[in-house]
Amino acid sequence: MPEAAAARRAEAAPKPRGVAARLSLRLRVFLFFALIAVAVAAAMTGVMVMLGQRGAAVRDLVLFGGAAGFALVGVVVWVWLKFDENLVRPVERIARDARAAAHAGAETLDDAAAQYLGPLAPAARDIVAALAEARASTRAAVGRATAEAARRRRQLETVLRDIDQGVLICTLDHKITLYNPRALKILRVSGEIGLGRPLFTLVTAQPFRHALERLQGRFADGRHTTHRDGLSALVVCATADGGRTLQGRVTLMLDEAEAAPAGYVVAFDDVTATLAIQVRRDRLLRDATQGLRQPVANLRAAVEMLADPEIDAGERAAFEAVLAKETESLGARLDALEHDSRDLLAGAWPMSDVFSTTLFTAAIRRRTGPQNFTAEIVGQPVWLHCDSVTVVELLDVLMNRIAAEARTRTFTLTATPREGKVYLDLAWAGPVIAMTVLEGWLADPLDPSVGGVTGREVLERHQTDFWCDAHGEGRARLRLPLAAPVDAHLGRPPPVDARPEFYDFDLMSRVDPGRIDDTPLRALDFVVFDTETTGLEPSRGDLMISVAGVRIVNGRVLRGEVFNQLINPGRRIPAASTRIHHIDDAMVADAPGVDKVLPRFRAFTEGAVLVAHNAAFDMRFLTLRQEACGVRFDNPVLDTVLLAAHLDGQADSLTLDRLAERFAIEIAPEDRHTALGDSLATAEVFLRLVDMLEAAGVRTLREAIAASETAGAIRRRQAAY
Amino acid sequence: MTRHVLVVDDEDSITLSLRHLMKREGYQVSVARDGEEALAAVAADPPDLMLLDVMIPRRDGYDVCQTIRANPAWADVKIVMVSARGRDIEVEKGLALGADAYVTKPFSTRELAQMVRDLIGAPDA
Repeated sequence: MPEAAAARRAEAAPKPRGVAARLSLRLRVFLFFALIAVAVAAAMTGVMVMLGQRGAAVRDLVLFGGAAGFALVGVVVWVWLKFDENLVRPVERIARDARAAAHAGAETLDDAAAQYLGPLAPAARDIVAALAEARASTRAAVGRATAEAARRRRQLETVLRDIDQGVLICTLDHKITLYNPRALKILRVSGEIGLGRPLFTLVTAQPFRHALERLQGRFADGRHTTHRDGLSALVVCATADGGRTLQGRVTLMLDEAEAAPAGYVVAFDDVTATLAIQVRRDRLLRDATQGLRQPVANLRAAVEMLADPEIDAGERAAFEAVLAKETESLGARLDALEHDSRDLLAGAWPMSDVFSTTLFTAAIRRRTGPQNFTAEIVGQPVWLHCDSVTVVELLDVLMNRIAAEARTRTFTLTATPREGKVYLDLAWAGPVIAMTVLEGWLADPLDPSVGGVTGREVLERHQTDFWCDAHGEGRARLRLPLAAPVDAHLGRPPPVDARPEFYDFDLMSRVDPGRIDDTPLRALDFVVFDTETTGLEPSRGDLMISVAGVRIVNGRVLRGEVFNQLINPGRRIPAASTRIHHIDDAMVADAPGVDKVLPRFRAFTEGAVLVAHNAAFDMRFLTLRQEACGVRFDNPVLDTVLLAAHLDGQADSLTLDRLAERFAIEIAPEDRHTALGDSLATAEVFLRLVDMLEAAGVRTLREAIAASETAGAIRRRQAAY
Repeated sequence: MTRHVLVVDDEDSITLSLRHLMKREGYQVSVARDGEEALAAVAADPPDLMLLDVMIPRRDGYDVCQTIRANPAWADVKIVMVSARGRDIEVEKGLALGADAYVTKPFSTRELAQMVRDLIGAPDA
């Protein structure tokens, strides 16, 4: 780090050693030569005085002495000038350039006038060049290391994105520091998921608290090294709205020194559907066993009564009626059980939707057998649901066997959807194959690469069967019905909410703020928001028609976690205001009312400081309706106008446009005067202001609020003039 | 000539009832207990209608049905599959292989008798 190196260099510089060292080199050299000149003049004068005292002619003395003195002083001056120009100044220049190279990263040395310094200039030049090269190679190495680290990080991000389980990482006080797209998908029905937000607004708390208590206890006792599950535990919980059941594992994460827990990882699945199927299956089994006891009991009793030869005709008829009724009812029950089990039996083996062309092409290419044949895919391709690996194997085996048995060389493959199923047809010119022959083929195991399963087992797995019948003149066909696709594959999948920032590990080491007022601004969470309204007078019936906000966590604008909602104000929007924000009555007609939006917005701002441009205006709109909606906006509030005023005085215009321009923040014209566009711009402005405030000595929230109040007071006084 | 019905099933309980039912209706009845026996019976004396169970030993009901349909000489033999296997796929397969009807056990004997009458008419026509 440059700061540390500069500090080290400052320490290494020699301490001042008195007056002599504080004067520059040139001055010292000059004084030195001046001293010589003065000494020479003094010596000359002294000699002349002595000679004069010994009787030499005063005029001669003055003449010759003066002349010699001037000549000598002149020589000294000339030598000094040469010395100064060719030695001292080049030395100073080299020193300056060397210092520039050391401290300011300069890379060259001006040694033009240094030819009299001998090896000093080339040596200095070599040093500077070596320094520049060392710096360049350090930069390159750092660049490579950074690029490598970024590449690894992207790979890990990809793994997290593509993994099929939801993954969350949380701090010990249950704030989310990482979530992957699957977690977002599973949990977002339950609430807003975001960095730094509490986990327990999304899922029930007690299962996690209990699991973590157990794990922390296990760690504290050191049992985790011998425990089968190590530092992880199973957890089953529900989403906060009670709608879905989740099952997963919680694993305690240790800090770098592995000395204490730092947070925990949750990997989970949505098991609502699976559990529901399990419950139905259990019920079905119970009905099929226990539920049949009663009818069978009725039957048995009646039959045993009929065995008695003593009963009379009337009684006989009655028992025979019981027999008829109970058997009919048993039959009906069986039909019902079969019907109910139809959907349940489908789920046992994992299957997926596959495109028929893909399936057929794979089967054609498989070519495990010796037979030589060609196959053509005919007809419209469709999606179907099966275990493609085994179906491909089966098709390949069938084509080989049929090619040998029916002595045919060409097949056509078709997939036809009909009545909730998809029929795969394998057709050829030739005789129909007998069922016994087909059954024989099904008894053999398929290729070992699919685990030695037989064709019959593959059919069982798919709850299906196949047959061979005649299909036109001299042609035969093998027909295999399979299931219809589970998902509707209509063109492009719906766009996934791309959240570029989905983790922030700095949040792990965030210390409990304690008093929020004294927390540095950089460490706080903010929600920067903006509203659009029907007009400028909240007390005269103007209402909000749009509210948008964006979270800033750890100094980053989380563009993926925004709040943007139109509100139906329940009154007409004046044309004048529509001209500004382009929201008209038609756009808000389907929007929810403020009683639904305000609580959601309050939840979005939980734990954050509110920031807005001209905050008083927006806050007035929020607080006017808050009681009616059952919420309270008690967050601290900061106003970017007042903060900017504190920094730059009151002269310049402090509109959002001006501030954005000053900080070179771009707002697209179509986003200006939209709640979201303005929020994002204000957020960027706010981050720059935080930097400048820090430089101006305003670091904590308390200081920022104080500074705002002073700036506000000044502005009010100015407005009064 | 009396209409002839062949009952093919390996379960004594059901053949007892079916034979009794068909005889009561007035048809001439014979019984086969497995696939080979059934085909031999058809070859010897083709019936007007077969009540054919699927799960029989030595060539199952599907096989028997397909074999009979493959022989144009027996095109007039009506085949009614009667089986405990009632899944959609099994019914579809039976009908695809040439059965004229498919009845899932348990069934109502009265409805079965009606179906036989609809397919081949009264016993002596």
